[in-house]
Amino acid sequence: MDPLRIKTTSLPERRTDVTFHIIDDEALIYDPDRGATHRLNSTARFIWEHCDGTSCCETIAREMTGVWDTPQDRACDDVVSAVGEMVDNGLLKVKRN
Amino acid sequence: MGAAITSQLEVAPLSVERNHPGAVRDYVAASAPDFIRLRLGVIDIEIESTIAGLADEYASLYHGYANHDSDAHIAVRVERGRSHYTMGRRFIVSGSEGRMFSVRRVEEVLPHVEWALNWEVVRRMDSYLQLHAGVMERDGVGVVFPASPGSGKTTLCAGLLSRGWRFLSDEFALIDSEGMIHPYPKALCIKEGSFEVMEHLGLPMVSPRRYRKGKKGRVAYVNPRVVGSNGIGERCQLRHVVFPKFEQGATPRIRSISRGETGFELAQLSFNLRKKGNEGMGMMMSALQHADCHRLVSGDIDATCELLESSLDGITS
Repeated sequence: MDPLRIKTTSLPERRTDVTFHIIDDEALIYDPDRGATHRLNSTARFIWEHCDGTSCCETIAREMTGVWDTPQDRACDDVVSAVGEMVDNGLLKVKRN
Repeated sequence: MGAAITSQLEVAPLSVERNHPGAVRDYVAASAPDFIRLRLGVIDIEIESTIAGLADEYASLYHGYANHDSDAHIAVRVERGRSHYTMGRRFIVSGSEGRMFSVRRVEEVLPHVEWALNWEVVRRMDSYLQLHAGVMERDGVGVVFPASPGSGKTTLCAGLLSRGWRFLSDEFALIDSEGMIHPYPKALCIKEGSFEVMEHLGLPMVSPRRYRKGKKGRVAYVNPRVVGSNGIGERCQLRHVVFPKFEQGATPRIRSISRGETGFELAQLSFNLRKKGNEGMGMMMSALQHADCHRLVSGDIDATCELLESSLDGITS
C-alpha cells in the first residue's frame, strides 16, 4: 500500500455488493467477486461502518476518539492505514483524494 | 487481512505410469454391471461397477447402509479401460462430468471410488454449505472438527466414536440454511500410521485388504457402524467448532478462540463457499450463532478425547 495515496481528506465509501456480518465485536466481509473473506477487528469494523462516502478519514478518526481513548493524530493514522488496506483489498473506494 | 478461498480437497496425482502386464489381477471384468446403492446419511449414492468383486467389498465396507428406496443423488461408475497417455490397462473411475481417475493397481480402486464420491458431493450437493471437517455428536451436541488433510481429524473422530460419540462424517460438515449439520457417514479412511491406534481403540478395519490412496499411501477402512447402529448421528445443532492439529507426543491442550477467527478460517476450509457466495456466508453465520469455538492440539488419543469431554459445554464424559 502506498501510505501517501489515502489522505485525511479522502472520502472512503463501502462497496455495497459485499456482505457484512457482525460476529461478536468483530466482522467478516465476504466479497463474492473475488471469493475472498476478510476479518475485521473491532477498530477496523468501526472504520468500515463509518465509510459512508460522506465522512472523510479525519471525521471518522474524530468519531473514534469518542469511543476509544486515542489521541486524534494517532486515530487519524489508524484510519488512513486501515482505509488504505481496505482499498487495496477491494472493499472500499475513495471518492475524493 | 484478506484471503483467497481455495478448495481443500486433495487433488489426485496424474498417473502416467507405464503399463505392467499382470498388475491387474484381483478384479476381473463382470459380464453385467453391479449396481451398489447406499444411503449415507442424507446422501444416496450409486456405484455402477463392471469389476467383479468390488460390489462385495462395498457390501462389507458399508454393511447396514443399503438403499432400496430412492434414486441416487450422486453416481460413480467403475470399469476397465485404457490410459489416455500410455494405452496401458487401467481401472477407470468416472462421475457426472466424465473420467475422474485412472488407476493401475487393484488396491487403488476402492479409495479412488471413495474419492470420486467426495468430488461428486462437492459438485452436486449444493443445497448445503460444505466444510472440510469431521463431525461428531454426543447428547445432541454437534461438534465440528474443521481441518486440512493431515491434521488428525479422522483419528480423532475414531477415538470419539469408540467412546460412544455418534459419527456424522470425517470429511464433510454439511450445513443447511438453518445452520444445522447433517450426516454423511462415509467409512473412515485410516492411514497406515494409525492402524495401531485403531487396534488400541478396538475399532476393527473392514477388510484384511490394504489399499493405496495417492499421497496417503497405504490405507484401510473402518465402518462407523462397527460400534452398533447407534454409532451414526443425526441432524443436529452445531454447538462447538474445534480446529484440531495433531502433534506427535504433545500434551493435549485446548483454548477458546473468537467466532470471527473461526468464521474466517472456516471460509478457507469450505469446498463450495465460492459457488454459494453470499448465501453460503449467511449459512455459515447462522451455524456459528450458537457455537463455542476452540483450537485443539491433540496428542495421545485417549488423553485428547478425555480433554474434549471435560472441556466442551454440554458434553458428558
